[in-house]
This record gives sequence, structure tokens and C-alpha cells, in this order.
Amino acid sequence: MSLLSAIVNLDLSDCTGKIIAEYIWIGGSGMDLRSKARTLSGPVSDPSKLPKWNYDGSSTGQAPGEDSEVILYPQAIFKDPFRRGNNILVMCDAYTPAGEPIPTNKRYNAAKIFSHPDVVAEEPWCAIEQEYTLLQKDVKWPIGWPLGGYPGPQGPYYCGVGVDKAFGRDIVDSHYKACLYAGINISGINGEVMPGQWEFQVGPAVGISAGDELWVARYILERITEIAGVVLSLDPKPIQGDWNGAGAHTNYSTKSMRCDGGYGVIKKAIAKLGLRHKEHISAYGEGNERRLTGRHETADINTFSWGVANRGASIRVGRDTEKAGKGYFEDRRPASNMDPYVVTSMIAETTILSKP
Amino acid sequence: MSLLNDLINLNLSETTEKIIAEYIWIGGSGMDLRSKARTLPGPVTDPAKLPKWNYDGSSTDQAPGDDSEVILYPQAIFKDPFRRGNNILVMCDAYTPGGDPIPTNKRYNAAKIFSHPHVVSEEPWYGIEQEYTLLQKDSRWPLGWPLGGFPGPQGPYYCGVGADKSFGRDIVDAHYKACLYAGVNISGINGEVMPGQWEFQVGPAVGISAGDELWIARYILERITEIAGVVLSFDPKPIPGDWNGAGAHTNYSTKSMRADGGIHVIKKAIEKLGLRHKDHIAAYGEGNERRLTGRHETANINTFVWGVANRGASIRVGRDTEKAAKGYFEDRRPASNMDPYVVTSMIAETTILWKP
Repeated sequence: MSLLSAIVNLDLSDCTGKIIAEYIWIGGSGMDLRSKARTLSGPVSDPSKLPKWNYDGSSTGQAPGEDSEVILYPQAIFKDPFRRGNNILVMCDAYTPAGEPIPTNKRYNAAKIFSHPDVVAEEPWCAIEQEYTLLQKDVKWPIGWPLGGYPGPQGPYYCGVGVDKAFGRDIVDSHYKACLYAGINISGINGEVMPGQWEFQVGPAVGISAGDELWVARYILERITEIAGVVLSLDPKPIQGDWNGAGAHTNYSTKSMRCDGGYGVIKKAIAKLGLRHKEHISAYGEGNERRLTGRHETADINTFSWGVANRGASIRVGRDTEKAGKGYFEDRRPASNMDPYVVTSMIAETTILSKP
Repeated sequence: MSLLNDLINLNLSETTEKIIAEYIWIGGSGMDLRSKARTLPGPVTDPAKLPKWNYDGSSTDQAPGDDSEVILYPQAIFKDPFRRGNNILVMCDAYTPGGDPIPTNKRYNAAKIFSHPHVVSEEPWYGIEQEYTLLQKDSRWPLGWPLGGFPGPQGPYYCGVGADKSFGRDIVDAHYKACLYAGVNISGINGEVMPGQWEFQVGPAVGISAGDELWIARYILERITEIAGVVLSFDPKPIPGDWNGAGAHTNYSTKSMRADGGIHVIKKAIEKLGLRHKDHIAAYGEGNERRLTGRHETANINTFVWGVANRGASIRVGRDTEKAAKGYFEDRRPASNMDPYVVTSMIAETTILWKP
């Protein structure tokens, strides 16, 4: 197919000033990513200089057929690792023609929280550890697993190497480079405890950009698995039984927590989170009850606990933070299918704005 | 096969002034594209400087065997994305040796309409949304569909991402870049509601060039699917049942519609189109009655109805046009297998020249 590759890889910057912009948005389920492309005169690096656009909301469960237009507002630009050149990916959120955020637009509310003066002053940093599972396309069974059966029990796979221990590394490695190329703040990757499961981390990112960067990283991952012919799953417990689930642990700190004496601020924040445990859990992803069992490095969904270096707790504080008396903490409760706009803004709201 | 690729990709500009010109025309069915190539002495950018040519019309159902020559008149030049360098694609139309357009030459009449002084002064713009379906080569079943069965119902595929939702993106992306390279005014692409179906948009283009550019874009697409080993279908309802059809929605505006107060000109134009509904429908593509059922985002073929943001109407006016009180409208009736010379000139004729 290299004749096709020659065309897909054409560098158009020599023959035209035009660029291709891929507008990306979140569909009606709150988890399905959608995108379409348009030609613009370019190059463009400022999202406010990009035109608004619209799409057929009746085809994504977001509008009725007789009044189908949903408006896309460009919010963040990244370089397109697939088309390269001056071509771009554009993360958008969705509004009615009258200018109201549609119900599935969770970014709007998050942006309001992140622009509250008290929150701005605290400069919240988030770093999200996105876990995910790769599935064989036609059977939806994890890649590397024998059809009709199971691999050997967990043990050898976490950060493992070798054809019998690591399944799908080419996807993970191309995703890593593609994200770096795009300008996403991807801080690392590792193979996970369950075979066929992987993790990448995005951050630290300030405020609303954590959500933007994680969603675009997810989009890039789904484009790459599409090329590889493998299905991406963000289900929090893809296989029942003695197999780890998939989470999106969210690491968090504010200016006060990062300063001397910050450990006291961290403990107060954790206490506030404990008082709102049920509200947070209900916003931390569908199906999380199948994952947060108290086993497989999780805390039971009904219990709120925290501890230093404790992977069986709801919230874990790292040993370096304890030692330095300042730093950050890790909320281990969010599921892999959480919405980062919701989770990051809720943690900021509870720890900075809420009064117990 | 890298020796073959090296030869195909030879850049001849270093060794010779000669160029290769691929002459393209429409065959006897009105939908089959044909082409052949010839060597010319040097770079050419003006179609009037290209020599006329001829072909064997008895092999394309366009002439009898004992008087088989059909003459090709070059009408538009585009850069050749396959041969690159100074090589070109040439869109032609077909004439008898006596100088008359042959019956399948629809461009001739369209050019007459577009050179009428009233039409010229109204500067008609067209944006055509070409939908098409990709089929597996030997089974003629849509790409990505299981043999002997069906994919999950429509919902996830519109603008979708992922190996289980998007089939054939490499073809679509190669086509996008190839068209930009060629100088075709391609404004965007998106995955369609039916899996394996896609859309690209050409325009805005003025007058006769809309037809030239769409035919060249179709030619480039068929060359790319040929490389990919996939069959291109412009059938308006490739799969019966609860699966969307394929259209060629034609967006249209004139100078008066684009000026302040244009919304009234638009409404008058739509009324005229309503009075000639049957005549337009007869020219809007074979088999359209299988597609225009009133379901799957179409209006019933026997009904003429228009509305703002209404995808179930014959003609849709966008919300931005309504708000600005000027702009353009979308004729959603044409089928994917329509002839753009016929459709674009008929819309201009009815709205600008015709008196009810």
C-alpha cells in the first residue's frame, strides 16, 4: 500500500497555504469521541482565531432531527500527528445555536470553576494516570489472550517485556510519540498488571487544560488503535474475576500544598473530600462499583480511606510528600471512563471552594 | 515491490521537459469515468493551450463502430497527485467531429446557462457534499461489515473514531490531501451515519467550475480506491433497510442572497424550486426513489418542504443564514450519483432565469 502512503504523507506546505483542521468533540454518551475536518487558510495557533462550526446533533444523540444543528466552539489547538505539516487537531465543546452549553458539555461548568478567583489563586495542578485495555477487533477479547481461554495469572505483566508478557507495545509507543508531537504534556507510560492493559500519564497541567489534554490524548489513542485494527476499551472492569480493573488515578496539588507546610493543607483537603465521598463517587465513572471492590489495589466503593504509600486506600499520599512536608496527593477512586472535566473541577471545587 | 515504487515515483523534471497529461472524460452511462495519457512538450497551465484529442467512442457506448471517433476538448487543468512533478490531469468534454456536443455531454448546456449575462452577474456559488460508500472488492459488501451479516445499528459511526467505528480512513485522508495537491477546492471530510460511508465537500466554486472540480474529485477518489483494492459506490441506497442512503447535498447562493436582505431572495428562490420539484427530481439521479423515503434524514420524494436546521426537509436553511438574514441554502434532494453539471446549472436556471 505504499502508493497510498505516499499520498497520505504528502507535505502540502510546498504547494498551498491551506491547512486541515480536525475539529474534535464529545458525543451524546459523554464518552464517544467524534471528529470531522475542514480546510482553512493557515497556519493557526490561537483557538480564538478559529471559526465556530456546527454538526448534526441528531446523529450523535444530542439534538432532534428537525432542529439538528449543534455549534462547536474551538477551545484548544494541538499539532496533528497524522497529517503533520501545519495541520491541527482542535478540541471543542458544544452549544445550542442560542449559545447555551448542551447538557453533555461538561467543560463549560469546569471552566467556570477554574476561573473562580479563589481557584485561580491556588493554581491547581492535575496529573491523570489513564489506564486502558486493548481488545481483539472481532471478538472483543483482550489482545494477546487465547480465544476461548485465559493467559497465566497476573504477576509477570506489570512493566513486563517479551512476547509472552507485553501485548500491543507498538500502539503504546506510537501513542507516546504522537502525543509529544501534538504538544500534549504526556509524562510517561507503563504496562499494567492485567495483560493487554496499559497506562499513560498526562500532566501536570493547570486547571482546565488537564481535561483538554486528556481528551485529545484519548482521541489520538483511538485513532492509533483504529490504524492498528485493535479496539480501545475504557471500561473500568473489562474482565470479571481475578483481573485488575482500569482506573484514572488523579494526582492533585494546589499552590498552598506545594509550599512549606503544605502537608497540613493536604490533610485538610483530604478531610473535605471524605465528607463528600458519595457525591464524588457518583461522578467518577459508570460501572465503578464493578472495579472498586477493596481487592486488586482498590478501596471498597463505600469506604473512604487515605494512607501514605497505601494502594488499597481511596487516597494515597506519596512517601516523598510526607517526607518533604509538602507536595501532592493521589485520588485513586476515578474509573478509566471518568470525564476529566468533571473530576478535576470537582476536586478543585471541594478542596478550595466548599465549606464543610 | 519497492523497485516498482522507485520507478513510479521517478521525478522526471531533472531529465526531461516533457510532461504527462491524463485526459479525463465521462463515458456512455453518464457516471463512468474514463482517462488516457499522452506526452506533451512542456509545463502547461492554460487549458486553451492543450491540444484537442480523440478516443474510441464505440468502446464507451458513445459512437458506432464504423464512425467511432469522439473529440475531447480540454476544459480544466489540475496537478496530478499520482505522477506529481509538472504532470497534469485534464478534465474534458466530448464532441462529434462536426463540433456538436454528444448526447452524454452535459457540460456544454451547463456552460451555456452559466454564461448567460443574468447568471454571470449573480455569481452563483456551489458547495457540494459528496457522499459515497466503500465496498469490499470481491463480495461488494460494505467495507468493515462482516461477511454474511451486519454491523451494530447506526449511532456510533457518524464522525466516529476507532477500529470498530471507522472503516477506510486511509482512503479518505489520502483523497483529501491528493485533492488539495491537485488544486481542487476541497473544504472538508467526515465519516457518515452508515458505517463504511464517507463524505467530502467541494466548494464554494463559481458556476461551471463546481462541476469540473467535483468530477475531478470523483476521478481522484476512484484512482485511490483502485490503489487500496476497494470498490467505490455512488449508489444512492446501497443497502436497503435501516441504513442511511448516500446523497450529494448542493449548497447554493447568488450575489443577491449573500448581500444584506438576501434572506428574501432565498425564500423567493426556494418557492420557484418548489414549483419545479418534479422536473428537478427527474434530473437529480437514478434510483433516488429508494433513498428519498422521508426517513433517514431525507424528505419524501413526492413532497417539497423547506425548513431552518431541518434535516428531514427537501431544502434546509442554516441557522447562521436565518440569523444574518443572508447567506445560502442547501438542496438536500440530489442523489450521490447526480451529475453536478446538470444539478448546478438547473438550480441556477430555475432560480435566476425561470419565470413561474
